[in-house]
Amino acid sequence: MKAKRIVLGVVLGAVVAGGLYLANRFWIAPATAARSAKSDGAYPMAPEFKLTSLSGQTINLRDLRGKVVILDFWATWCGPCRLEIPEFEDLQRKYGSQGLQVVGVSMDDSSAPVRQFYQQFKMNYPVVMGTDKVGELYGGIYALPTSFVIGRDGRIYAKHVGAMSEGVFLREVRQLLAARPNQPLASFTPAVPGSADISVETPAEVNSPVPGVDVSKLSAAQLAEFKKKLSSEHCTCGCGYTVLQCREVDGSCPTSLKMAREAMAKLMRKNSI
Amino acid sequence: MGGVLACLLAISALGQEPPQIVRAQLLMATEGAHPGSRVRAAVIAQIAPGYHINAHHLSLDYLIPTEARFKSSPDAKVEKIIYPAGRLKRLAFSKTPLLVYEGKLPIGLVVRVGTPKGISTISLRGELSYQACNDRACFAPSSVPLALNISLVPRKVPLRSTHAAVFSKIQFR
Repeated sequence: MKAKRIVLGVVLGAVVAGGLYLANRFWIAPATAARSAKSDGAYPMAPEFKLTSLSGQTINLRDLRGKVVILDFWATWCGPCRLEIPEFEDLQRKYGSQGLQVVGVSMDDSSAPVRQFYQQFKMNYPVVMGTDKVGELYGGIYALPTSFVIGRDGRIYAKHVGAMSEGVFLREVRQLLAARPNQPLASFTPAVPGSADISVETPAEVNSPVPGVDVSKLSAAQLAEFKKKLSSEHCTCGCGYTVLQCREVDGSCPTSLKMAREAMAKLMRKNSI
Repeated sequence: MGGVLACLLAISALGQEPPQIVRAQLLMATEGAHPGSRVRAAVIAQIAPGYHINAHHLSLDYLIPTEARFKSSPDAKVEKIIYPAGRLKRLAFSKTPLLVYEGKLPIGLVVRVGTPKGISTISLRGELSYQACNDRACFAPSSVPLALNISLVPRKVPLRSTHAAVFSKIQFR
């Protein structure tokens, strides 16, 4: 009887916890994120990058300011990514003249399959070969496809992880095309709740000796102390590396990133930096 | 309950934190091995609910297959790897059903054991590489390490079978 009650309690607890999680993710969190983004103008600026497209054209995000940009991180081995591409081609065809530019960022290891795909499907927008650094600038690309919808003012208005149902990008692109070039948007309603929950990284974080953590304010001695500390702790993600090794080997690991940033915050407090 | 867990895992896959999708271990069909013999072993992978990984034999050529790879040494050499066929699954992003692995994945191994002198345990090291997706998103190709210590037993000592339920499901022939 007692055992039954315990089991029932555990199940109920799990269901309540699951419910709270879902409510937070789909109801509370998106509303908060969207509101804060609107009220303080916190839609982050899209990190700049310069990469060469498959056709040899230099794609500099800065040059696209004034346009609405869909930045699509994808790979040829990713089925959901391939599914979205015809919609992007369609949007480029219909709205390109109004200022839309789709840019594909392939996360394939080599360009050969990307070139083949590009030619086979006659893609009508540029595709560049992505790098880990660019992925990190955009907050780490953990799943593909991950697409960013960038306004004419260069700010990221939506981030979509996973294949979106048809019409999501269209609804967002139309709103953003309505803005004047280089002017902030009066209002924006993301087509998917939670898609305004965007984090990006700075070049100082991406180019750091501890990837993801800005160490530019540390002295050489403090940096050595910081790295020693990270080398003495094991990352709890299950990789078997120390926190520092995990940052160096797998910049996309959120566990080591969190641990490293917490250690950095502690160090900065200790040294009043 | 399982549904709630699967749902939570599927959601976290589309959030910021990539979950541990595949865990794997190596098992032996017998307790130890005789020097100079062939033994059966298996990779037992557990794929998190809500996810799949591509089968070894691909249904579409652009996919990345699941593959077990082992370091070869005179002490232990994997001679044969038996992959299950996979399950045909219809996914939102594909017109045709794909061959995938879900849940528990047993991969059979035939290991040739060497005749090392003066040691009682040999080790087998390798990795299981895979590329996981759910119905809406895919994750970068990844791998999990595989390690097994095999105790060497004198030839006159009979070997006892272990994990019979697991090995009975693998088509070694």
